[in-house]
Amino acid sequence: MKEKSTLSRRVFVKKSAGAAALLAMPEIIPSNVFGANDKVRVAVLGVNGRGTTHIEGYMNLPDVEVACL
Amino acid sequence: MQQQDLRKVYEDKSIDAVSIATPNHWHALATIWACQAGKDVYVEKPGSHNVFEGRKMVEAASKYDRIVQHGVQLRSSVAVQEAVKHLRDGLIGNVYMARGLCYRWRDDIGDKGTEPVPEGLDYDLWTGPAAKQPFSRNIVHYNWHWTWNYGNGDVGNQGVHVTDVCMWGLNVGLPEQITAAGGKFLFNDAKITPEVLSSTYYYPKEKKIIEFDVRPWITNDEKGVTVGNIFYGSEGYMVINGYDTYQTFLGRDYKPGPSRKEGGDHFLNFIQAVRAHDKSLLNAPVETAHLSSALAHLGNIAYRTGRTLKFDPATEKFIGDDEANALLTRPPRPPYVVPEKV
Repeated sequence: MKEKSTLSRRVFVKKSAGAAALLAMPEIIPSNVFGANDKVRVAVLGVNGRGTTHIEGYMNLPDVEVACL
Repeated sequence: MQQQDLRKVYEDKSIDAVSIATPNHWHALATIWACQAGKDVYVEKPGSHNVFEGRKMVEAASKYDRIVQHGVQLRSSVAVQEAVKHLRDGLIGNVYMARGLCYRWRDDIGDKGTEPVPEGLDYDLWTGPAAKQPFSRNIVHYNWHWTWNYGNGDVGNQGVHVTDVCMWGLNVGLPEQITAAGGKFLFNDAKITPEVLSSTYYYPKEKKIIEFDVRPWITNDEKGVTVGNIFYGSEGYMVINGYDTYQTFLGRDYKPGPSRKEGGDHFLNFIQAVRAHDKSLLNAPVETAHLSSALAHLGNIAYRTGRTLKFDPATEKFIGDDEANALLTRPPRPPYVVPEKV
């Protein structure tokens, strides 16, 4: 099942603070990183502490959309 | 919806790259599987959980021609890059010693004992390539750092930023002689790794030395540094503080020299290298993931064996010490095995 909805940082943090954050590991949040003509799809493995930082890192880049798989 | 099994992600042809923020014990295997599946990788520090697996990451990235970035963000700091250039250019003369400091608050975590695996956690998968032990809330989340099966103590956690800069600044690989001492002196809790660790890494051929200190509690800083480095040269010394700042002090009267504070975007650097498919663009290529992590592992092994160790950087094995060599890897737990031949 693939959801292409954008996930704001606020929504992501809220989600990860809920059921997802407590124990499940590794967890997968793929993101789309769009270039002019190409896009790089990135999956973040593990979304506790460092994973949240990773997702924020990609979201800070221009033309980045984090989508939920 | 979260997918718990990373193998499913690796089967997904639409995924180009993975960003690995699992516990340490998964880093190398997740990286190697990703390379085998044709994905590029950003891997959190330490790149590896042990020396053998770190070398295999390097081999996998090379064999499958993948872009692998180590998550040591100070490698993308404009200021730290400038600092290392100063060291190479002789600003502080002959640089013979690096000091690494890792002073972070690490509180008593208590001892929560063991309990049944909570619903929703695939504990066999979580355990992956590590030895399996009963579930404890002292392990999940975060405090797995302080149990050897999963973590590498603070020298192999926060400390990897600092081991990386020690080696980068001194322009050295792995050392030939390692000593370490430390222990658990403060808390009677479930941590297994040492709270306090002082280690020395000696390079007889290069005539250089790394001194590394881990402290978890009340301490002085050193020239303002609690996490960072001090480099000592024949003409001065340099302080690298945190992820983005350096200062220099020159001559016998410690005259302030060049200094700078400026960060950089480590994720952007990764994405640029992925887009160009050019690993030469990476600020923290896979070799640095292996070596900076291995330095931490060598210190931990010297601590665990309780003796001075002789190491051969060419073979990445200890000389004449089977007990120490056994700690360079871990027993395989199929199917989560880092192969000899990647």
